[in-house]
Amino acid sequence: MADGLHLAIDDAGVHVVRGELDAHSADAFEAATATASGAVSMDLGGVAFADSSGLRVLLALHRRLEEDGGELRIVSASDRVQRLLGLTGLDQVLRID
Amino acid sequence: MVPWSELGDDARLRLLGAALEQTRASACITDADLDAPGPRILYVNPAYCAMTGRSRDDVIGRSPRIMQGPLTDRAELDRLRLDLAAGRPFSGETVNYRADGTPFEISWRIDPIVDASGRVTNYVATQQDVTALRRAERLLAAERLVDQALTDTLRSPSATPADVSGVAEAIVEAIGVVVPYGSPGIDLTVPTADGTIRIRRGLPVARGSAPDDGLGDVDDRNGTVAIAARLAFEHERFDGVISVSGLRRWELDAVDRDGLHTLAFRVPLVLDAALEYERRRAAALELQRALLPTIPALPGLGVATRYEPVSFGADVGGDFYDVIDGADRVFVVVGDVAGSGLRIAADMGRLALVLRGELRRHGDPALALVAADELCVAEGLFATAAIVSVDAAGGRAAIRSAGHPPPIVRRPGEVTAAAQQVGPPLGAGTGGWAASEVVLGPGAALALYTDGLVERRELDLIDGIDLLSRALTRAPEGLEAACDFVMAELTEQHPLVDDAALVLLAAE
Repeated sequence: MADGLHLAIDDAGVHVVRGELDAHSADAFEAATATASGAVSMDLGGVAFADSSGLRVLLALHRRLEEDGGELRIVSASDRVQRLLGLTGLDQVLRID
Repeated sequence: MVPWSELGDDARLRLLGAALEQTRASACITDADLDAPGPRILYVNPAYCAMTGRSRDDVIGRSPRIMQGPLTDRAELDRLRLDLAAGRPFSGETVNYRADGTPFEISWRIDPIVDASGRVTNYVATQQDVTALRRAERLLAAERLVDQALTDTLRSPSATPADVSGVAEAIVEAIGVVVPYGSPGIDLTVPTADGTIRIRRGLPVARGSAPDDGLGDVDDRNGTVAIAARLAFEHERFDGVISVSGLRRWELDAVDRDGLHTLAFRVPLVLDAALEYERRRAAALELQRALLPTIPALPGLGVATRYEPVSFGADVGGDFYDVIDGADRVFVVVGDVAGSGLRIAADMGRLALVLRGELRRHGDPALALVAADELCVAEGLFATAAIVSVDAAGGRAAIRSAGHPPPIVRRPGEVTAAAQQVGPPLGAGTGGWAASEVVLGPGAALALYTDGLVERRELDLIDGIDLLSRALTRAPEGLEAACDFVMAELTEQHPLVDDAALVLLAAE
């Protein structure tokens, strides 16, 4: 995984993402979530910075899971990520709990 | 084997003598007379003779200073005298000379030998020829300098052909590392996309005086000599020399010619890499420029645009804008395809074309965004875009935003982010882009932009939009001047890290 981005699955099965989700780490994020399937819960509370490349891979994961009958649920997001999701209208696309 | 403790004095002396005679380490023993003319040599071993090219008979009874010459470091000798006078051992490095006058670099130690009463009776000096080692170290350091300059050029977000000069400076510095005498210089002609440029740094010798190939000595002025190496690449794109001029005869003898020659081979490779980067970047930017539209002249509506690329190499961004003249209104489009590179630039071109075609055909921004979304879904793209429809009178505008940051409205005495109803980004496949009406009124202007202008790692999008609003408040009248002002304001404190586009429009 690229520097600055960490993804771990906690005891409750939540994908916990920390660090920066941007152009530099987008490929690493895709690789780390390549085998995720079904209903995936993701915690973005520890993401300090995200850009459009980061949102692209988030949306791509959402679309892939949905096509297979699953879904992506954002269970937590940092203020900065929340604002970004709101400004880009992704909060209307992703399920944010 | 007889242990040391059981050896008699004679046997011990024989062993020590044989060891000193037969070791490949160079050793020299002197008396301890520090008064002028200084210690005299009592003994040297064969390794010393091999290193210095002098016979034992030649040196015994003479001062070790017979090894010194014009490049010997006087400060090291002063330090040596102080250490020995204080009874301290000494170690140092300097240039010594063989019997035939050839200089070489030695690392040497001098240790006092004391008798039973503690009085210094002699000194033993051991020397090592470190010429090859030090030359290799200097060449490595020189190559690192050049490589670092190349890396810096490749990492520079705004490198221009002139920045190859950063590499040229490093080359001159590197020559000075390999040859720490005389004046280094480079004189080179290189072809670039914009024609030939000449790189001249330091004190290079005249090109014509350099040998056709390899390295050679050149007559210099004032009785000095220069060493010049002709630089040529296989396909002869480069022509020039690297050189060291103003060398005095005794410095010339100490020059690491192999090191300089190696550097001469490396220089064209490094410059070629730097220039290749420039060419790739120029080609990518040209493609990107070609994909951006030409803004039509529109009666009653003024439009000014800026596009600021900060691409690394061919890593151009996917920002775009467009202005389309509809029947009874004008569409202003701004968008951003996530990612970078030639592929993204091409995708950006297609997306801009789809929006333009749709708006031309039926003039319905909502349908145009549906078509754009379909393209993004099909190609796996993520993009944001906003379409602003401005009525012919320029009094009212309708914004449809697909995840794009809000346009900024400037009215006399008031600058605000447009209260827009943002819809999902392109590529989500969900659709639903409602129009938000904005009344422009007389004297009003509208700013559209991409996130590269207002977002940095250290600058949240919201704060960046705020910064843009404040800049627009203070921006001068006139759209072009206002564009310049805004770009300067937003990049001064927070240099761009991503491509940025800005479109300003106002009723005239």
